[in-house]
Amino acid sequence: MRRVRFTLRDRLVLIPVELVPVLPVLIAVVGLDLIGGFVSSPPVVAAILTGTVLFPILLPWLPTHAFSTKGLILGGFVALPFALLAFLSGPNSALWLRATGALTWLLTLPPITAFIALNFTGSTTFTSRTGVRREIFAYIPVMAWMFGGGIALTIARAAIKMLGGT
Amino acid sequence: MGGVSTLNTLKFNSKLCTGCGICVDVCPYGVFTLNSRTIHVVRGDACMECGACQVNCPFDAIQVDSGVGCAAAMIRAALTRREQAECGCG
Repeated sequence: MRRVRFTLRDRLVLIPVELVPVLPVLIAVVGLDLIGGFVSSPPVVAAILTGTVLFPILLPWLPTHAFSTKGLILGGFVALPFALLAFLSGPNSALWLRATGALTWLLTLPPITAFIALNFTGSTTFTSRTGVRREIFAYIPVMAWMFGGGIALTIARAAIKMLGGT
Repeated sequence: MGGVSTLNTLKFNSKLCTGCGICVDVCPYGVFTLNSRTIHVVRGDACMECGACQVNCPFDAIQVDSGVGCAAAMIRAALTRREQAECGCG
């Protein structure tokens, strides 16, 4: 009886395949940053690369069963240093501004990693369509609310700063 | 034809099964075993819905909803109202 395994080597081979669909997004993010600083690219690039490169490598050792929650945890770890940096930078800024700055990264980055992680179900040798469908219904709304909340907060912060509310 | 697990769509009809054992050979997760020419579903929860058993069963005793399991493809299929997701990895 043959058995399917999913070794580290198997997962490493898949990383370039996982990188192909996110490449245009990576280029767009870096491009938008270089053109006019529309996006702060390092945190976003880090979140994307964590989902495409680190997640497949660490898959068996990440806690929880669902790929989405594994991705949210990993994305949370990626967001932490950027959130800390946002909180500690500009000590003369108002506390609420630094706190919300940190919160935007904690809200936007984990869903990016989690969504890429969820898509890795299509590459594994043990996930079922039924399981993926359940994860989509359970966690895509969570990711959407987190990401949408982070974007809304970013816009609100920018608007308040423009109006001189710092 | 009864479902064997709440975690997947695998269904096995023991009335149609002749105990040929092909499903035991093709299943990568040891879902089936053959005992005195009778197939038993012993690890129903381990089924990943690859569909190998259904394709290879000569007596249509196994049904499973198999196909692309990539979340992005499934979301795309739902948004475009298609029944079957198609892999877009190229």
